[in-house]
Amino acid sequence: MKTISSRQTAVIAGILLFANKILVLPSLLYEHAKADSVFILAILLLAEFALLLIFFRLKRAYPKSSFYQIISQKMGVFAAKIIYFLIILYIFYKILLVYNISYVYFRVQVYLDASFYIFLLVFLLVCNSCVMRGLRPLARCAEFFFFFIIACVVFCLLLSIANFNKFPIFFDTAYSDFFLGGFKYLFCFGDVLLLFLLMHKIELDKKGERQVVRYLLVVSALIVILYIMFFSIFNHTSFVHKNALSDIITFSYRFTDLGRLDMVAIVTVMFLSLFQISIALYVFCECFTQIFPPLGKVYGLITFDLLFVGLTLISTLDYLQLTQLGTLVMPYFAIVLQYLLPLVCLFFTLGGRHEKNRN
Amino acid sequence: MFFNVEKQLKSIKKQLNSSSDVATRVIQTASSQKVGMIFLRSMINSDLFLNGLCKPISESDERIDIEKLASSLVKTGDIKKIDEKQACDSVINGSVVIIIEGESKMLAVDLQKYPARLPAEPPTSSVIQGPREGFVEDVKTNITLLRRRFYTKDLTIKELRIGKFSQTKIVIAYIKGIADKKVVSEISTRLKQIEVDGVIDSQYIMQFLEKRPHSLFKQVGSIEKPDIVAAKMLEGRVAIIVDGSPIVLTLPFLFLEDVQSSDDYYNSHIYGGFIRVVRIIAVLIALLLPATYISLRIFHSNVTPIKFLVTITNTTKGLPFTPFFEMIFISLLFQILYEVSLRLPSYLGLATSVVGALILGDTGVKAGLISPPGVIIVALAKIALYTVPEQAYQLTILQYLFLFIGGSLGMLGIVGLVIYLITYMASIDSYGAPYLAPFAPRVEKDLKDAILISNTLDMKTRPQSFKNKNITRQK
Repeated sequence: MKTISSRQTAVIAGILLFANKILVLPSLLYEHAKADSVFILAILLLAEFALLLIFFRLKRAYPKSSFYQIISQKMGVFAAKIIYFLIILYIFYKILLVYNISYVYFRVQVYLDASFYIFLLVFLLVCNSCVMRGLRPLARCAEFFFFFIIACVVFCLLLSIANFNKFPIFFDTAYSDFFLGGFKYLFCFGDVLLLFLLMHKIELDKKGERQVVRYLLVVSALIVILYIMFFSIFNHTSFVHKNALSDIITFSYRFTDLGRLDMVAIVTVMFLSLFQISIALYVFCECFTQIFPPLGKVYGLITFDLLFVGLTLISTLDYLQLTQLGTLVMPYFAIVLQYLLPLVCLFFTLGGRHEKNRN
Repeated sequence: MFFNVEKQLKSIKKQLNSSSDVATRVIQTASSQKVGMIFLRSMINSDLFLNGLCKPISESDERIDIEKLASSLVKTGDIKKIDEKQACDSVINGSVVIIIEGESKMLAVDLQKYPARLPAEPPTSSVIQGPREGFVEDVKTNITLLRRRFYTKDLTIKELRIGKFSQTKIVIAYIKGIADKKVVSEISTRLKQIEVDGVIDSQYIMQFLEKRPHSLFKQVGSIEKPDIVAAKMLEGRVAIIVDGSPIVLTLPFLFLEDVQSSDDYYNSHIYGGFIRVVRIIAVLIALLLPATYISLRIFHSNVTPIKFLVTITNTTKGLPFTPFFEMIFISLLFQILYEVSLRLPSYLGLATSVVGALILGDTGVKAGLISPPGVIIVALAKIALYTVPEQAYQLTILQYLFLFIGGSLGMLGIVGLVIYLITYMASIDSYGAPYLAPFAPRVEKDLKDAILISNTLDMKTRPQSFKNKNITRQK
């Protein structure tokens, strides 16, 4: 089986960590927790690291097994299929959300009068082809562009210093709003779950684990800085600005002479959203083949494409409606799949005979 | 069975279809013994034939036997004892086949000579500093050019013939102890499996060696200079020399190789690294500039900087073509001029350039058919292509592809195409070497000679992007 290296795992985890967090989430969180959203972010990012540690432990305990094999062995095949079906639904929702956020962003920022089909065509063609090539080429491609993406994000953050107003006021939110905000948008976090689903295709040693943690620390730091800069620049109007990474540099009169530097943010988001959807789609197909073993990746892709095209064409949901819909159901999905399931897996590694012991 | 000279000569000539350049000669020695010779008049050195072969035979006053004759021919090339079945092949290969009356074996004396040019600087790989020798069409000369660089028994040369009719000599050269055995044997197996009518140039076998022959991307290195091939062999690559071609193929091949030039190593490593960066920027300009320009004009005028937008609006006012068609038109015009200047004799080439670049371009702008920014962008992109001449053809196709995608899908399409291409390239494997190494996957040690070049003293290991038998390059 073709596996990916620890560096590629780190890159994939890093890209997934950016998912849903750098455009619309800061303003949505601000509506609930104001500047204290930074703490929500920090807590949930810490939870990502906790998940990552569970992942490492599970990987060490079952170095060759897939996540499906582990849970079907411990919980039974039927339960494993149900869990995987829920995961498929959850991933599908996340892809739909990333797509819609990106679509609205591009529509507002760069494609004023372009057809809706352009986006659908590009996303489907690129992501489908990436999935068809396999995880290794996709991971290598992500590896190729990762430092470019990081450099672009850093560039945007550096430019935003010029717009820095004053530090936001912290500890200005009621506990109920703080926890409600965090709970509602739980589904925007926990993408480390995808690593669990790819664990049989990942090669990881001690050094590799440290590398993954290092990469995620860098990405987390960038996201936290972005939030602080965003709230500092826009303060009480933060909830209006739905494109955080772009807006922190767009609203600067100092850079008009240099031209539209928000193109950097736009290109970064293009890369990130295409990678995020491709990786999530790959995992979607992996889960699909686990539930329906005789059907291959191609059937998974066809199913996804039909569902995706059908939903995006029929429904008139934009990302705000999708997010609102998500805040009703998805937090429960997130708790069960992102947090409880890995915790149960942690329990598997604590007791009983596992693969490593058997060997 | 002892030979009858006339009968044997007739039989061999018949096997050679009695071609008009097949010559036979029968010499009667002083001891009245008949010695027959058959050869291709067009393939042998006639001076050597007369003085080194005919003269000693005709002047011999005692009976000649095959052993005695072989030891007395000191001026000729290789001498081989052959049987009747090998006679034809020997003649075809430029040997004179000698049949001695009363003997049961024949002698094949190598007197091969054909017109060949001397090593000169190849037009596509000229350097400011460094060796100027280039490979030639003669395989023997090419082997000599390599041998001169390696006075070691480890330089291994394996020869085979490919082509049903051409029977072209193909030479596999590598350094034993550095090149990976598996790679060598895989290359040799692939070469042996080739069944074609003829191999006229090394490009004929290139696609047989590629893992993905239908791909747009080049997967085999093609080099015209012995110093570069020698350097690549020292890194553990295998060279394939084809008789009749001045281009030597090298494997495994990484995409980055064509961005590197021998000049980079013959100058200061700092300057070499700088030039590589310039080359990479040029490639990006060549691929992305026209596509970005057109996508900004068609889709993203709102993100175009105001001053730039005003300039473009002023200069493109009243143009009869759409932006996309305008760019395609200028690109095709440039392509036609390039093709014409390539095919025309050099004395007409300059005139064509003047007519094309100055008159057509200038008049086109003045006539209001094309815009000055369009001309500048296409010209810059087309010139930038040739900073990496080995990849110019592939990049040209990609340039049109990007132009088309930029014009129809905008920036998102361009980014999508970039991801598609890189994913595709990342899936290519060249004899165990990932095509995009050392970037994807990242091979830390090879980054010393990827874009920026480290000091020679720091390059202690051979590339690890592909398999090597011996990693240590220097201590």
